[in-house]
Amino acid sequence: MQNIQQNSISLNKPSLHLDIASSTYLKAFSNLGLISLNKINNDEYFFPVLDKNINDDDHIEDILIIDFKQGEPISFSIKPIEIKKPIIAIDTSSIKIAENSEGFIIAIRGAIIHRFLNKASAYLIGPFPFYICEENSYLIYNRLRNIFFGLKENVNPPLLEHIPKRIGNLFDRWLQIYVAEKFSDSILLFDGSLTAGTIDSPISIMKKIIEIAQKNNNIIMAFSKMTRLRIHGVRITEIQSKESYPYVINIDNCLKQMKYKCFGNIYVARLSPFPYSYRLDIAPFSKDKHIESLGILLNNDAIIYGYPETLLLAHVLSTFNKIDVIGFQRLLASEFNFPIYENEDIRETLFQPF
Amino acid sequence: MKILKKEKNSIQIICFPEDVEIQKGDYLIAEEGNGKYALLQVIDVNYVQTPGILEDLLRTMSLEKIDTNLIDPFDTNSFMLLIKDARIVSTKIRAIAEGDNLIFGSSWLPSRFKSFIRKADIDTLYRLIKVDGYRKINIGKVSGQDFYINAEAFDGRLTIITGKKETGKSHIAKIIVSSLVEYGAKCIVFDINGEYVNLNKNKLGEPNKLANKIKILIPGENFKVTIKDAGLKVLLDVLEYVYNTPGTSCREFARIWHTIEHKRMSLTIDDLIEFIQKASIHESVRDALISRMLALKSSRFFTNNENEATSLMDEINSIDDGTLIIIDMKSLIPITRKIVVEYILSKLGTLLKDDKIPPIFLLAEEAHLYIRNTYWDDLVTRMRHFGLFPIFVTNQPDSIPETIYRQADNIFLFNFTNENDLDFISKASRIDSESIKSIVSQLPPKHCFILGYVVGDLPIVVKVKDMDIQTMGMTKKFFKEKKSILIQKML
Repeated sequence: MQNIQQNSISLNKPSLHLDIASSTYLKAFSNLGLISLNKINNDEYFFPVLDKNINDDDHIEDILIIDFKQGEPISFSIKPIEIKKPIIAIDTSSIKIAENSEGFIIAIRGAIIHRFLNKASAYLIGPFPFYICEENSYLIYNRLRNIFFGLKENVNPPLLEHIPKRIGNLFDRWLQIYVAEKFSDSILLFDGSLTAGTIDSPISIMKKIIEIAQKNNNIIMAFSKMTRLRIHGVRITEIQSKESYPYVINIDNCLKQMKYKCFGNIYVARLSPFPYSYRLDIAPFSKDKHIESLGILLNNDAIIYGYPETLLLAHVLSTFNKIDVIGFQRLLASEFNFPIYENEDIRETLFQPF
Repeated sequence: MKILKKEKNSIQIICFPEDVEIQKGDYLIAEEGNGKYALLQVIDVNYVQTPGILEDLLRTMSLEKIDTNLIDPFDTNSFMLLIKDARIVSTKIRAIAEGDNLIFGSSWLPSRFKSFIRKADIDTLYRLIKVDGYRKINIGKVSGQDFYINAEAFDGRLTIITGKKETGKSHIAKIIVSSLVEYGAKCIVFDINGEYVNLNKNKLGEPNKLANKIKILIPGENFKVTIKDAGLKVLLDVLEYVYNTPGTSCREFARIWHTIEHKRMSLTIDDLIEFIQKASIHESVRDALISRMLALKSSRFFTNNENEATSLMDEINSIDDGTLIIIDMKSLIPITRKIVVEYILSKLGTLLKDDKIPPIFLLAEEAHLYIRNTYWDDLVTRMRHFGLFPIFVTNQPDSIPETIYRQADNIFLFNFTNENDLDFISKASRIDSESIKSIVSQLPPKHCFILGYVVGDLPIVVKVKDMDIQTMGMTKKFFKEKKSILIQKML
């Protein structure tokens, strides 16, 4: 059970071969989760939780401060460029599975999708369970920072309620490092932004990701579906260009002050006729290279409602649905002997007869 | 397995595919450990509508398009597959029982949370069925175990065997009839396809246990009767129902018959023809009667020679320890078939009424082809009281009147897929239509859904056993060479 096993569910020989299953980082991540579960007192009841997935890209990018107009946004029209390049997309998801009086069990899963010459391959990594409570959150959070990023200094962990999201972010960043290292001459699609400076996205780590990508001639495009960035009170994704789609608008000139560092350049991307725009951070390399890479992306990936299909697939495959959660709860009950009982709704109990 | 909900007489059970191998017709027991239990019959198995199943299926379908590798250290995928594949088992409450005793009309329900649900074994069913008798007939298998019914369950009862073509109706009829005869019963078979005539041989063509108990009567050949033996009633019925003779002509015929009897003249078919020709009756009546008498004569079933005539009573009583009389009607034209059946039924009624023969079982295949409509009620009411116990076999369920189904004690149902047939059967049978439609429409060949007294009113699906007899029920085919032989020839 503790040993990470790789099960191929496809009969076809996958075109993508990754050694992620044998990664010592991943094994350490998995073992830490297992250790956290072993700390649970089996006498304590768990109540199942059917929570929302946490994989939205609304994290730290919104803390970016945009002040009044510093310069004009610059529009770039994008033309598909017929160069074949692999597209690699990553996304992770975390969800609360069950809770007791002291803490809760979460599950984390990641997905790497590789698309090249119209052939797609997927790696689904996880789910990995973690038991998080006040007592162990400090240890687990800092241990994960150490495992994934080699960070020695300990920090105060986030509030317990934010832990699932933060652990998911750590795992996400590690996967980003992994693909940046493993692939070359590729377009890497991330969910979220390239903002750094928080405890789970340290500047050093983001810098490392960008540097590795640059070394391997990869270009990173991070798509944010949600953003609170505004220019003159207007959400940046509402900004229109005179260019016909597909286009991007560079808003770097509009930025005045940043609480956190953002690697790369910030664009608003509208890649399809549908009126959906996204915040798009691209790094490394120059803007010219960014525009060229977007042209290559259009040629190598399908664009669904202005969003790259490969990244969409990574999102879909990493997300937990209700069946995943119920199945995981059953695993906890049968394999770990955690007594899981249905939590009675106190309102229903009190008021149902009336 | 857990009880999900109850609606009227139905209980839905939720389970994983691994919990138990369940098939339609199987019995489940829901018990709490206090001796009481509910006997539930599975009528359908469906998927659970799990929350999020649609998105999960869409996700799975999208995954099928791409090479996918799972790195699943805790093997959660297998657990999720179980959840996704969870089943909902629809059952009907057949009985509430305590120990070996059925409690009818009980409103007891097993607990949804505490009850334990398991598949009922055959011994439990036997203990509950409790049909009087000790003459066991091995009819096939239930859940892989031999299943027996009692020969006594057919005694004094009306039995119907129905199902679409080539599902095994005649096969089970042969098992029942040969078993009854082995236990010493007297049986008559109306064999319209000549498929029972080899019941006295095993598959190798050697004589079997029934060899000395079977008599094959071929009307017009070794089975002929005299007009006198048939009697006025039979002849009037033949004239009226077989030949559609007008009432006036029938009355004249009866008058002529009485005149001949009164004068103590000989009563043969030729005598009748001669007398009618001379009688002072209207020409049209004479013509009508003469033409019908000639038709009767041409059937060759009636003989003028008493020595040539067969005594049905003697045939039935000739063997003490079980007799199977097969009326081979394969070569008969429909009208002659009806005449023969009119004679036999009438004769049996008389013999039984007069206690000249013991009670007898009558197996009638596709009886609607030769039994007139007005005879059905007579068969299942009056004649049953005298000791004639019918077993009807048909592939057209609506050919037997609905009222007959309602009076049937035992019903053996084979597969039906036709909606109209299912509707008819479900309206007419002794259990709810939902069970009939769901179970019967899915029965594989040679599987039978048995209802009624013979199974103690606990409907049971049985896989009918093979029989070591020469079967003649197979339809003759033009292309009968085996594929392998054909290939050899082609090479």
